[in-house]
Amino acid sequence: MCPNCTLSSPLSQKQKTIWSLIRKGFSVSTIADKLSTTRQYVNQTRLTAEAKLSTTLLEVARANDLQVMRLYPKEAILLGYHPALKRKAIVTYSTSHGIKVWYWHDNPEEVTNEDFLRQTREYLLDLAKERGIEVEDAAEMHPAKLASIIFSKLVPEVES
Amino acid sequence: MNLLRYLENRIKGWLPKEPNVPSCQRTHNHKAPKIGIQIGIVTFIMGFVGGVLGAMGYSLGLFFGVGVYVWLIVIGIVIVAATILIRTKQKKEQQRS
Repeated sequence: MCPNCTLSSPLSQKQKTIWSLIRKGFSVSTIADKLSTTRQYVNQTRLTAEAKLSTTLLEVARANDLQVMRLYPKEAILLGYHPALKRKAIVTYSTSHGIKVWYWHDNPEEVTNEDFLRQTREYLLDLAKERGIEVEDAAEMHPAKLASIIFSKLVPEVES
Repeated sequence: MNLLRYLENRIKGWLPKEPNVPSCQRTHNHKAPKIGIQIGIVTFIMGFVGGVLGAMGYSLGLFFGVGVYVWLIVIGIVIVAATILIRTKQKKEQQRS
């Protein structure tokens, strides 16, 4: 385990860089050239990063009493269900902001905390950028709606 | 804007966990009292409207001629509105679970 790794940010700097470049669509050989290393090292680091992220997502799900419905190791996303709240939940990872747990809201407009909504939008825009997703009018959209669109592109089970 | 369009355009979606989110708390803690209050209010309004229409039925011509059809039209509108609301609720429940 790396010394700077935490539950919300489980990857080392090298793992973050490689995982992020792969998510952006770069090939293993391009990343190896970019980082002046071997393809084998890139592949090994990618696998280690995915394994670490999967373990962390499962731990976060367990800590939040979520039943795991589906885990997407490559996307670092977990789809779960909270039996007490009777709601679907999603656990996501972003290299710049770490782990977040999301719940479905019928009336997200009830949440009026401006800072919270701004941070949520920033997280989502980073998440989308990291995964090469483009959303029109993302800056003006309510974060809950934006999340819905982004998650529906990442998780087939989620409808926008 | 009709009711269906309004319901479709309402914002719904995902938000991160926040300890003081009202919709989460209400679902978790106060669901039963809220439904009870809603049923009470609807029953009171229906009783009041029924009483007024019953009392004024003769002067409004609701018990004879074309006026009799007003009852059928009102009942029809109520059934359609209730069906739309129930279906919307069911969709929301499906999305949630």
